[in-house]
Amino acid sequence: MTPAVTPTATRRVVVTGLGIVSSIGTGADEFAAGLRAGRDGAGEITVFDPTGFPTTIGCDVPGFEPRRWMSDERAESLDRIAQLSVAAAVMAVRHARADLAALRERRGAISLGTNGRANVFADLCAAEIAAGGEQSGPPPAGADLLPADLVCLEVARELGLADVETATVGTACSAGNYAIANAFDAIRSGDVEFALCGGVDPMCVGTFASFTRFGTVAADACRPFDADRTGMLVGEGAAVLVLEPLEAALARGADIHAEVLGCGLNCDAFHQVAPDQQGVADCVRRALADAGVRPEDVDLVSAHGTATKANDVVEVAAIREVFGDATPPVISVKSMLGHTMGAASALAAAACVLALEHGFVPPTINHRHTDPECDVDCVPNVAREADLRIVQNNSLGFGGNNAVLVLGRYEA
Amino acid sequence: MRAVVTGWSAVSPWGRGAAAFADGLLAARPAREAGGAATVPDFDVRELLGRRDTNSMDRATAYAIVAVGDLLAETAPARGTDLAVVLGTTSGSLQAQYDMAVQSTTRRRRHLVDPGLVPHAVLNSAASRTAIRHHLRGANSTVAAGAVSGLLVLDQARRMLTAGRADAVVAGAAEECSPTRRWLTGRDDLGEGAVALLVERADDVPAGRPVLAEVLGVSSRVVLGDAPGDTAAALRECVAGLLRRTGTAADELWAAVPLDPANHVFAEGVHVVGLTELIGHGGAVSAAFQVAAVLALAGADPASAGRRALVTSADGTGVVAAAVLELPRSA
Repeated sequence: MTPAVTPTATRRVVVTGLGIVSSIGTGADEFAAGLRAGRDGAGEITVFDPTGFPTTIGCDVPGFEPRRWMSDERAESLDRIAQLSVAAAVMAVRHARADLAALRERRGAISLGTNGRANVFADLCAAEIAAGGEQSGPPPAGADLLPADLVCLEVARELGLADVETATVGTACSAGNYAIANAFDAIRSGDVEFALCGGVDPMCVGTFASFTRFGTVAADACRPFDADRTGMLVGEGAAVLVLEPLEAALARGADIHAEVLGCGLNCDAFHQVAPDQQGVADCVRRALADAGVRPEDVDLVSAHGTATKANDVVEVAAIREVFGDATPPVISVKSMLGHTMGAASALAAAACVLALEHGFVPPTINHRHTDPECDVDCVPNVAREADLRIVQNNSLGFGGNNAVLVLGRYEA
Repeated sequence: MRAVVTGWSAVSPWGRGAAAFADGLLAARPAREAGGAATVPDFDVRELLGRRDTNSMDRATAYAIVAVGDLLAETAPARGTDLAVVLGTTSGSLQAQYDMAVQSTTRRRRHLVDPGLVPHAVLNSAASRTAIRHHLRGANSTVAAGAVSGLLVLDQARRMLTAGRADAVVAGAAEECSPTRRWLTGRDDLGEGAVALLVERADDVPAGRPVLAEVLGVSSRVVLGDAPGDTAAALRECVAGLLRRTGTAADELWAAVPLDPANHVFAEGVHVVGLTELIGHGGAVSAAFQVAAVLALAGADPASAGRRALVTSADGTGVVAAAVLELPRSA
């Protein structure tokens, strides 16, 4: 039953399951349908009171029903971020038709990107702040919820996985790709035999205030690469990918949705907030080299594409620097999903997997006139059928943390 | 691929630098105030890092920048070395997050928070600021694993080197001792600081640079239950598996550095060292302090030559971890 172990350096890593919570659909099928239809996840924010902010719309998931994926008791004991990560992980394991008892017997990894527990922080401190903020009393109820690694640990508890590495990655808005890259390396090197990886972040007032403060929140809609773009919309969600070594997936007859070919990780080391063309281009080159593909082999770039003035110009310039005249279509799923922070590149990676599997390019919606400074084929507004072999997923984080993932259609 | 530690630096309640840490540890000098916290002495962030960007900088980020700077000054990696950074945290700077929450709650226009504060309220503040200050353009990761962070970052460093993601990795962790952390943890015995370790492939170590320890293995495990004894049981299982995997016999262990010496899980006769009594509970930097303690003790004890050290930790969130380091045969 146990397949022969191949030399670790050549071990291939495949995606065998997806769990999705997003503003355009829950689960792989609904999410794929949303991407193909160009659904817009934006609406008036309901998960917190946005009164007093200049923009009051966002891409939250008001209909998220955690009880579909966990017991009533568990749903009540977890806060929103843990509910999101647990729901996506449970969904991913079911989608992979993985045998939990078998997973419990093998060394695994749970690797999720997140911005942490900002969602509970403001509420936790509200009473203290109102009382003058002496911070002299006992810890407030719920202070034990603050450590960021609970997003991974609650997944392990839900699934009964003890023999797992739990790597909670905090590289801001590239955390999802970083977490997937860590899982990819862990499997490729033989450290683990499976991984649940991706990213999660709920919408919360603290992050919303930060993005608003930096003038990056759009007035009406998220229009990546558009001449009239005014910024991002903030969103929430979770995406978990099940990764396995190819032999293990084949041995159990799993559906293989895509292959992880490689990744690139680097840091601009330039500016805390502004992206850097040289840093982004270097990261793309690292990813292509790691995957062993040439720029002209890439059929689609899923951009970080936040629709801020600065990001889109710099990112497109970096893409052009690497791809030149062979630049493939460059899309931004943030046009539909908003910016879901730690979940963003994981949701985009899941979108790439579905695009490869089902042969279509998700559109960049809300698009009117392409900015001459971001002159790419962004597949405006309407999805396109396409025979995709290799897709690249970009992410650029606060602090200059870049992570680029290269995914391929599975070919035996 | 064998991963080795070839340099280290620390900012700790014993002061700045590896030597200050080693001196404090070897003298077993308590750096805590009576019954209270252990803070880094004589650390003036403006004097060390300049006025620019330091106004709203959280303490952990400042410690990380200084510790990594000292490490780079000491080890002087060759120009063009692709250096990655992997730092551990628990939740980022709780103080910066609290200050932001105060501002966004009490100000009439809620989004007008201090923009200088925002980068310090995110988890990757220490790692990304360190990269910017020292121009480190390699992979740059932040792992949030609380008390076990210092062990997980060693594993991540080893993995990055195996995958060819870097020529060398600066692995470490940083923690702040702040009013907010004290309030939210309910602990008076907090410690703080940062540790930076240079991790390289054994085959790539430049001639003349000593190998301080080899990272034989790191393992971690989730504590599924919440009954008394579950954490200790998980740690025993984690350690047993790691000793087996690294082929470490009990008599090869020269030292053990647990987070809490009261719950140690080692064979009799092993030299057991505890740090919390001396420098407080280091939170996210605690396990990195423990690794630094192994290096400091081994540097002063010829009996360590060719033997192994076990570092163990547990975080209250429900994760345990252990690492086995092998000390060089000769200094």
